[in-house]
Amino acid sequence: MKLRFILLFVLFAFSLKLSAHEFYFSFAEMQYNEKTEQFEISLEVSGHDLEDYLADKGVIIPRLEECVGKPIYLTMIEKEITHGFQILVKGNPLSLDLIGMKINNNDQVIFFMTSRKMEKPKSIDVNYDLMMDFFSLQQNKLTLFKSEGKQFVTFLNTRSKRTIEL
Amino acid sequence: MRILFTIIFALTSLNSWSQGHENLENINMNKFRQLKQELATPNVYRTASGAPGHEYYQQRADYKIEIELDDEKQTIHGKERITYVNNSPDRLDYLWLQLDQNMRAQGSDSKLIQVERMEDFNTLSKVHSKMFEFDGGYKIEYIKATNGQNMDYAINKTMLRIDLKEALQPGKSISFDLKWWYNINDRMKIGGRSGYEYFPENENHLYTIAQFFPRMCVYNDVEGWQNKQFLGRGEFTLPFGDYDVEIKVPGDHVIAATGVLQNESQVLTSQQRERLAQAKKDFTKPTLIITQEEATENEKTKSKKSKVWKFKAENVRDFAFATSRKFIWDVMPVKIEGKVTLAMSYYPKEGNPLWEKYSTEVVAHTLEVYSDHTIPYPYPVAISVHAASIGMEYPMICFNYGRPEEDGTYSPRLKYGMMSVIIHEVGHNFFPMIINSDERQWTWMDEGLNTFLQYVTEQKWERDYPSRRGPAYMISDYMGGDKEYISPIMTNSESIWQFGNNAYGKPATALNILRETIMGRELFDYAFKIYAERWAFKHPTPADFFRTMEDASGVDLDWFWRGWFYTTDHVEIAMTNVKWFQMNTGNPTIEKQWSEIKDERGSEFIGNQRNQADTNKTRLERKPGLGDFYNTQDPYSIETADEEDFGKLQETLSQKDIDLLNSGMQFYELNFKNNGGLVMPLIIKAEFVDGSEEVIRIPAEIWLKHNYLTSKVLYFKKEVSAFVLDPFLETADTDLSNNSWPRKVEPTRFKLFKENVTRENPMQRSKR
Repeated sequence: MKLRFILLFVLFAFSLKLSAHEFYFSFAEMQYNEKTEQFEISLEVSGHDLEDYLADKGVIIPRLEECVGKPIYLTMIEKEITHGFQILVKGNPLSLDLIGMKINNNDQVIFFMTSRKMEKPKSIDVNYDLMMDFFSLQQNKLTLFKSEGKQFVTFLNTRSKRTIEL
Repeated sequence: MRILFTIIFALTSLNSWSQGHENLENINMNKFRQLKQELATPNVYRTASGAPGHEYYQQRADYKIEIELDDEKQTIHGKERITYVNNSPDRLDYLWLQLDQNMRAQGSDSKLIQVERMEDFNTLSKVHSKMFEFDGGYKIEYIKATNGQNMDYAINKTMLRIDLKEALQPGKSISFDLKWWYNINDRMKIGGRSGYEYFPENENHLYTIAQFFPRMCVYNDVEGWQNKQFLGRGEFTLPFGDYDVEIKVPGDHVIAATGVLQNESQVLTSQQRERLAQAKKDFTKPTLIITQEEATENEKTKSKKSKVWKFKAENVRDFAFATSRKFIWDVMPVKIEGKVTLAMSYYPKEGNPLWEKYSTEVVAHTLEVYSDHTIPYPYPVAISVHAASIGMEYPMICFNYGRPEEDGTYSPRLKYGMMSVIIHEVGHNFFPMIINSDERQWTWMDEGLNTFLQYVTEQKWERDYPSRRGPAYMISDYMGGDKEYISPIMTNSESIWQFGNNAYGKPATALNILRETIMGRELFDYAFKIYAERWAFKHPTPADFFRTMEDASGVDLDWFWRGWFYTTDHVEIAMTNVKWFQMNTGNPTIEKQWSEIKDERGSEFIGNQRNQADTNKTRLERKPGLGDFYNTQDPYSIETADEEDFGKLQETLSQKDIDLLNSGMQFYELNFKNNGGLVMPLIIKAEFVDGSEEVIRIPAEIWLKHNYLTSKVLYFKKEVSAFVLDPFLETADTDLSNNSWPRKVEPTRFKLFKENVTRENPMQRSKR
């Protein structure tokens, strides 16, 4: 088997940031809303982790605060976030829309997303490898709100895709 | 019959014995068992109370250093004389020094041991970074005795052993000279705590130089010679001593350093000296010694002359400095218990306006709060230096990030980030610079304790300061879920998964929980201060901390250290069931009426309802003659016999009993399940039907026998409408959805977000 090594060529200036300490964590919450028939998701990351990650990916944006209200930057962020957090129903990716973003003064950044309307599936696959290709220690945790209580699902770089019964 | 009884008895015994025992090996796994095996045996050096023992000793290393910084080639050359005093009872045949700069030597272990995947090479910049063969290791030119004779030595990566011709006897000292140089790393390209940042627009450098000279390793009763290589993460472990340092830099550079400047008249202008003298008198605000305009002018000069700055520092464990021609400099004195310290900041114009407004004020505030909780800050200066992207601490000086946009604006996130990092790094003066723990072994001993006091300091800066770490609820996401890639706090610095949460966030949270919930502020603050006083200018270990906190507070915390520091268990306690009881007064007037109400309120089996509809007339209805006393008796009517019985009962009761029966007391049996593994106190809020509330705090020892299931009966004079477990979010419970009776729906962040939207979100607006 021929091993292919694809080197991505990045044409912009490299800036290595070492802001204090990376948090290496993102936490998502998800619930299927029976009334709107949509999945509702919030996803929290550390602002400086995300900025470093986007810079590494070559996604050139100003500081996160300045992205609010600017579609060109929001679309770029949305693309990366929804690439790192995917819901698959019967193997097909469910498109998610970024409908809001909140930046706290303590560097917590929370993204709010919804899915299209759909009947509640019996199970879904979740692929949650956000930032794992940049921070090897990255762990992502999903809290699923169900009628019978919460379910916690951990995603690691060795196990970034999980099947969840709803 | 006897056999059956015996079997039942045996099963019951096994079941009751196994409460609190997790495995089948008949080993005591109770979460409250003492930490005897985990902690070192107390001895004459370290007592069982956690204090230094009567024969405690520590070594001493004094340094006289001459440095020359080459601003053209970015190299540093140094000569140093070390005087090492052997205060131990042991004969030392050799001495070990740390060569931390060798971490940047070509082919160093730091690079070799990095676990890599192909994703780490997926951009050109990453490949450059990985393949960048910068040689930043030491070039040792000589090591000589004071008589000029070369000394034998061997370099083992980041450590250097000097073989002594004659062993260093207890109580004796030895002096020797070293000469060395190395290339300074570009901190912005290859990272590092020490190095330089280059400003291309005006071709200037800002150097933040640390762990730059060969330093003595610690030798003590715990480790012998410290023998862990410097791999990059686990920081430093160093003996105390006095420093006499001369630094030669370009004539237009300004230096900030550990210690007190000795030759102001030779390196400062008369105007700067005059301003400094004025600044020392004004305790109300920082005074600029070098203004932004002056620093901006200074950037343009490129002096070919040089100046030598002389500093002295007493009883410190290290020395660091920063130098640049870009520095703005401000000073404000702080008086702590009668002693004056100069809080100072050095920053380029790129740090303004943020730095001029906040840095020195934050330094002063930190010294005041930390001094309250530990010991009065003992050093003459405390300095914050602006350094892009990092936060790093050394005695009396630290390097901190916080750079506004080019237009001078900044986000609140940056402002609070900068203030927090200054608090944190200045706070490191106490942990580990003064309370000198072994950072290379235990990151949490300095980072965790310091992050705890950082939170306390932040909250005293501004109400509702947006702290990132400290409160219990902030760590629960990290602690819950599956435990792969999470380490116990008691893990060596180099082996920790999730460094920030493990060594900073979790111990800081644990201490907060001790302070707010387990011990209370008075006991905790006293014990914490005792620890600081006992171990100031000494080398404490984890056991010394654990023991002192217990010894000074009178609280057995072994279960807490075990759970929070030795395991990855988390807090998830569920209120599984609540049963409501009332006292039977025996009074038929009350009890029969109560029974009637209860029966009326009770749910009815659906079959009864259907039978009513299906059956037109029962046999008894058709033939009333089949009825007897029991078919006609009203179970709720009060009969003479009932009243007689009640009268007899009253005669047997004391007035106290009668009062109790008539008190209307309500009893509730609450059942709890420990799903997460960590035993914690039960904080229960009872909400009453009349709208009032009461909080009941039950110590964690309620789990003493059975570590996973427990129950408690609470009684009140009023009827309870709801119970809430951990109502003030103080235990780091990871799942609040099972903390209420009756069950409450826990809102998701998304729901809160939607509820909080009072107008169109800027992002929604932009997407229209």
